[in-house]
Amino acid sequence: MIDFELISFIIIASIMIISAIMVLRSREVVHSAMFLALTFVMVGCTYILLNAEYIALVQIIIYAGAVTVLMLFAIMLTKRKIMDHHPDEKEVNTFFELMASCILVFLILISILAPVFCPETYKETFDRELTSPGSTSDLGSLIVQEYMIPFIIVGIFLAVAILGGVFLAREKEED
Amino acid sequence: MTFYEFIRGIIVAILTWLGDGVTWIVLQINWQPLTGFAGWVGGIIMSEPSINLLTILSGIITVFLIIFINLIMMMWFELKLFARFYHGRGPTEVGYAGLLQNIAHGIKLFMKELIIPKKVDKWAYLIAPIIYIGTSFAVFVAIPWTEGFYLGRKDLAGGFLIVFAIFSMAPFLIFISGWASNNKFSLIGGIRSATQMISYEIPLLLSVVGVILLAHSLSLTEIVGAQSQTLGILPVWFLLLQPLGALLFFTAAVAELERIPFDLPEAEAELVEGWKTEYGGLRFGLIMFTEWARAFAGCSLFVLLFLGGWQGPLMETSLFGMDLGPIIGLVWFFIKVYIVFGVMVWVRASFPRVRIDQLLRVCWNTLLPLGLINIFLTVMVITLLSGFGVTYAIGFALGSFFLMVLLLFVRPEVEPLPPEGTLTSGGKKERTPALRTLVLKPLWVTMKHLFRRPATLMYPYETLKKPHTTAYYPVTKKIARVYEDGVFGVPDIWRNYRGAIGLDVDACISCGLCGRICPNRCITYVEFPGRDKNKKVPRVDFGVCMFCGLCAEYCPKGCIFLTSEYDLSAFDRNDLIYGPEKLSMFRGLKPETRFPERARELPSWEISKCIGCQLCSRRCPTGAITMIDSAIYIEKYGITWDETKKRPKSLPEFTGDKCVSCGTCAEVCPRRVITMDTPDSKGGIDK
Amino acid sequence: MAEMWINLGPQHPMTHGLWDLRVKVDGETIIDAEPKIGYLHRCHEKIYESRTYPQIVPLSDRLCYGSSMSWSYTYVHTVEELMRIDIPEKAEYIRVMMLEIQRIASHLMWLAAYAGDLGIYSMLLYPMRERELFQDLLQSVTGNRLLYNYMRIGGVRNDLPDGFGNYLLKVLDWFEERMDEYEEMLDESEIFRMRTRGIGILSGEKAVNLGVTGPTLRGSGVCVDLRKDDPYSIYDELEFSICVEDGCDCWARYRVRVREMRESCRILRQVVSRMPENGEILSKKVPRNPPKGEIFVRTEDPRGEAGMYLVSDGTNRPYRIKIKSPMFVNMSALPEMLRGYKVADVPAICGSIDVCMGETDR
Repeated sequence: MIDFELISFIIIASIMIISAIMVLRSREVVHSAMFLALTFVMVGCTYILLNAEYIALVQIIIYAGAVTVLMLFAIMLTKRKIMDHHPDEKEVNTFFELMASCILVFLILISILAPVFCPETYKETFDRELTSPGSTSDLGSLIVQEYMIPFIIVGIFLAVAILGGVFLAREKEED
Repeated sequence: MTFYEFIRGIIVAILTWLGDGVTWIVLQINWQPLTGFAGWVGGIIMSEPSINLLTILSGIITVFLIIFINLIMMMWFELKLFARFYHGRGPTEVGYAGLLQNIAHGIKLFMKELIIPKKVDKWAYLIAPIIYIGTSFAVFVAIPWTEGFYLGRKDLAGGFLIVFAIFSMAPFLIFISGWASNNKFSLIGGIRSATQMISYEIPLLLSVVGVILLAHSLSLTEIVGAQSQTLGILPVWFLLLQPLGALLFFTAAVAELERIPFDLPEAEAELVEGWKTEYGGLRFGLIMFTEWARAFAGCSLFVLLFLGGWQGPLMETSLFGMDLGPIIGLVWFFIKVYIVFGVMVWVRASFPRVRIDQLLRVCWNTLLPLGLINIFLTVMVITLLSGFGVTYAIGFALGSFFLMVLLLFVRPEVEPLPPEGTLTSGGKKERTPALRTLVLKPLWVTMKHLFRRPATLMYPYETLKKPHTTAYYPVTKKIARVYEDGVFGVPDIWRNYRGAIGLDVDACISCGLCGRICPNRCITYVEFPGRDKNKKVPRVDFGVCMFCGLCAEYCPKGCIFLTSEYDLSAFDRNDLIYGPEKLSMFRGLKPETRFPERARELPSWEISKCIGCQLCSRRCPTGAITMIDSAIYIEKYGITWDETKKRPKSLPEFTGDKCVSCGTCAEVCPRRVITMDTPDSKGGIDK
Repeated sequence: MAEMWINLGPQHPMTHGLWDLRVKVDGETIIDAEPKIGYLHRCHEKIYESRTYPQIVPLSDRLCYGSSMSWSYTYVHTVEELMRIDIPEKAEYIRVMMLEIQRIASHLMWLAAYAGDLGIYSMLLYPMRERELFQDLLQSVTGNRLLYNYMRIGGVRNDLPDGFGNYLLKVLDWFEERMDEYEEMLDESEIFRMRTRGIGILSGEKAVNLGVTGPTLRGSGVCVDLRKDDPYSIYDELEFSICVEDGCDCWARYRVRVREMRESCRILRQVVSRMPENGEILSKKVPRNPPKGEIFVRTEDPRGEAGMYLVSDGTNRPYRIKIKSPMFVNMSALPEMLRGYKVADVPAICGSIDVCMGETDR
C-alpha cells in the first residue's frame, strides 16, 4: 500500500533542499532568512519522522523561533537603508558555481552511501542495538545521568556567552 | 470515548450510509465496468488510512468552527466588560445587546479594498501574515478542552512544548511583515514586537517548569489529571501550589499576547498600528482576529496548567448510561477561560502602557530571576517533602505564598528614588518596579466602577430633553426615557440654552440691528407677505450661525430669541437657511432669559455737515427722527449756520424716547454726520 | 539604525490638535525636534480688525476652545482697561467663578487626554465624566457647553440661576471625592510613575529663559502665578496658594495641575460664600468707542500667561489686536524637553505641556 512515511519524507526532503538552495541564491537578504527558517522547520519535521519529537520541538523553538530572528536583527543593524536593492552586484559565474556544488554533493553522497558499498567496515555501527531514546523522559534521564558533565559545560559556555554579550552591548558611560 | 473516536464513529456512519446508497444505485444500473470502478473507489475510501484522514479533517473543521464562534463571543465579552470598567456600555446597537457587532465589523472589513502598497516586498508581505494566522490557529491542535479531546488517535506526548513551538514562530513572522511593509513606522513596530515576544518566551517557559515537575509529564492532559486531588472541598490546583509561577505565567502571557500594559508595539498614540499599519481590508481583519485567537490560546493554557482545566463539580453525572463527564468538563473549561480572560480585560482597563525598554527591563531583571527562583524552590520542596502526599502540597503553597508576600514589599532598586519635592538628578536611570504598587490600587478603582450605573446616555433613546417637533427629529424609534434634570440631576440646564433662533414676525420693526451685530454675518433680510415691502424681516443661515446669541441680546423689541431646540440637521446645505416662516415655527419656545439693561447709545448729529438727504429719517424704524424745515430748525435750536455753505431744505430732529439704539441712521448717513454716542449723552445735535 | 528624521505628522492620533512634530532620532533616542505649526491658522487678528468690540467677544472664545471663558475674559479685560470703566462687584464675582470652573474643566480635559495617550483607557473617561458636571453647570448659566460668549465689556451676559451656589457646592463635594479616586488610580500606579518620572526635564533656569509660563513653569520650581503676582479682578481678596513642584519633569507638571484643580475648588467655595446677593451684572457706562491708545493686559490662562495687546484709534473697531498665546511659547520649549529621551516618551512629554492648537495658531 501507500507508504505515507516515505511520501512525507520525500516531500519534506525536497522542500528542505530547494529552500536551502534558495537561501544561497535569492537576491534579497531577508528572503534568504525566510528560506532558512523554512529549512529549519523541515529539519524539525524530519526529526519527527525519526521519532525524536523532543528534538524536533526544541529545533523549532530555538532555530526557527530564535536564531532566525537573531539573524534578522543582525541584518537590520548592519544595513544602512531599509529595502535596499543591489542591482549592480555581479552574478557569480554560473559554470563555476555548478561545478563547485556538484563536487560538494558528490562528496556528501559518497560519505552517506559508504555503508551501502562497503558493509563490512560499518558492521559494528549497524549491529549495535538501537535503543531509541525518543521519548522526552528517557532523553532527560540520559542527560542528567550519563551526559551530566557535557551538560554542565554547555551551561557554563552559555552563561559566559550571555555575560559577554551583555558586556559588549552595555551603554557606554559618558566621560 | 475520545473526541477522535467520536468523530470517527460519525464519519464511518455517514460513509456507510452513503456507500449503501451508491451501491444500490450502481447495482440497479448493472454495468460491469462501472461496478468494478465503484468497487475499487469504495475500497479506497473505506480503507483505514482514508478514514483516518477524513476523521482528522473533520475534527479540525469542527474545532475550527467552535473556535470561530467562541472568538466572536470573546470579542463581545471583552468590549462589554471593558466598557463597564470605564463606566460605559459597550456595543448595544447591532443585534441584541450588541452580539452581532463583531460580525458587522467582519463584513465591513470584507467589503474594503485590499490595497497593496507600491514598493512592498510582495512575497514577504503576502505570505508572512498568512503563516502568522495559520500558526495561531494551529496551536489548538495540541490544546485539549476536555478529557479525551485528542485530534489524533492518542494524546500528544509533548503537549505543552508543541504549543510553545508553534507560538515561537510568531516573532519571526511579525518581523518579516513589519519589514516588508516599506514603512519606517511598521519596521520599528515590527522590531519592537519581535523583541518583546522573544524576550517574554523565556519567563513563560520557566514558569511552567514548576508545573511540569509537579505533574511529571509534558502532556497537558496529564497535567490536568495531576490537579485532581482535593483538600476537603478545596481542589488543589496548581494555582495554589505554584502561585508565583501562575503570576509569572500570567504576566508573560499578557506580554506575549501584546495586550495592555505591554502593547507598545501597536500603541495608537505612537505608531498608529505598528506592524499591522500597511495591511488593509480583510487581511487586517484576520490579523486582528488572530490576536484574539492567541488570547484564547493563552487563556486556555493558563486554565489547563494552573486552574485545573476541565475539572469541576458535577463531573460524574451520567445520562441514559452515557457518561456526561466530558461535556460538563467542556462547560467548566469554557467558564474558566472566560474568567481568566475577564481578568486580562480588567488588567487592560487599569494600567498605562509600559515603554519598550522598561518592558524589557521588567522581563530580564524581574521575571527571569523570579522564574529561576521558582524552579529552585519547587525542586527543593519536592525533594524535602516528597512522600507526604497532601501535606507536601500545603507546605509548598505556604512557602510560595510567603515568598510572594516577601517580593511584594521588596523592590530591587538600581537607584533610590529622590523624595518628593527635590530636584531629580538628570533622571536618566530608572528603577525596576515593585509588584505592590503596580497592581493593587488601580485594579481596585476599576473594580469599583464595575458596580456603578454606566454614565453613557443612549441618545436618542434616552435624551436630556424632549424635542418639540418630531418632524425634524430623525429618530426611528420612540424616545424611551427623558432625563429632565440631566444624568446627574443638574437644575434646569435648558433655561438659558442657546439653540435655534426663533422669530416673532409681528413684533419685528426691521431695525436691522441683528444683522449688523452678528459676527459671522449670517442674517440677511427678506420680504414677508403681509408686511410693507421696505419692512424686511431677518432670515438666518444656520450653516454659518454660531449660536452666539448677540442678535437676541441686542434686539430692542425681543422679537428674535434663542430657543432650546438643538436638532437642526438636514441633508442639503440650502435647507439650513431658515426663512422667516420657518423661524416663526419656534415662536412658542420663547425663553424667559432676562438680559441686563444695557447702556443706551443715542445718536448725535454734527449738524453743520448735514446735507438734508432725509435718509436717516426715512430709515429710522421707530420714527424717532423727523425732518423739520431748516429755517424753523435753526431758530429753534439756535444754531449759527455758516452762510457760505448751502443750507439744506430740511434738517433732522430727534426724539429720544422712541429711539431703540439700532444704529441704522449712523450706518446710512452718507456724510458721517451721525455718531452713536457715549452712554452719558442725551443724543441730538452736537453743536 | 542610522539617524533619521521621523515625522509625527499632522495626521496622528497622539497630537492633540493639528500640528506636526519632526524628531531626529538615532536609533531610539531623540537628538533634535522641530514642531511645525500653522495648520489651524484662522486669521483671528485680522478678523478682529473688521469687527466691532462687542462682536469680537464670541470670536475670542474660539481662540482656545478648551478654555474659552478665560480667553474671552482676557479680551474683555483688555478693552475695559483701555476704556477705564469699573465693573460692578457681583459681575466680578461671577467672572471669577466662571474662570475657575473653566480652569477645572480645562485641566480635566488635559488629564483625560494625557492618561489616554499613555494607555489607560478608563482614565480617559473618568475625568470626562466629571467634566460633564462642570459643563452642565456652565450650561445652566451661559446656555452653552463649550463656547460660552458669556463675558461682556462691562460685566457678564446674564445672571446666575437661582440656587446655583448650592448646586455648585454639591458638585464640588462630589468632585473632590472623585479626585481622590484619580489620585489613587494614577499616583499609585507604578507604571504611570515609570512613564512620567524623570521624563522631559526642563530646569527652572531654562524655562525662564525660554519664556515658558503656566503649570509648565511651576512644575520646574519657579513660583510665578499671575493671579498672585499681578492680580486682576478680585483675586487679591481671595485666599489660595500657588502650586509649585520642584521635580521639573512630567510628573511634576501633572502634580501641579492636579493641585491647581483642588485650589480652584477652594477658590470657588470662597466665591460662593462671599458673593453679594443682589447687584448689577453689567456696567451701564460702557462707551461705544474706547479712547485712542494702546494697552497690554495679561491673565492667567489654564495653560499659562495669556495676553492681548490692543491698539485703538478711537473708532468702534480695533486698529490692531495682537494675541500672546502661552502655548505658542511653551511649544518652542519642546525641543529642549525632548532631547535625550526616547521616541516612546514623546506622547508623555507633549501631553504634559497641555497642547491646544487653537491658541497657538490663532
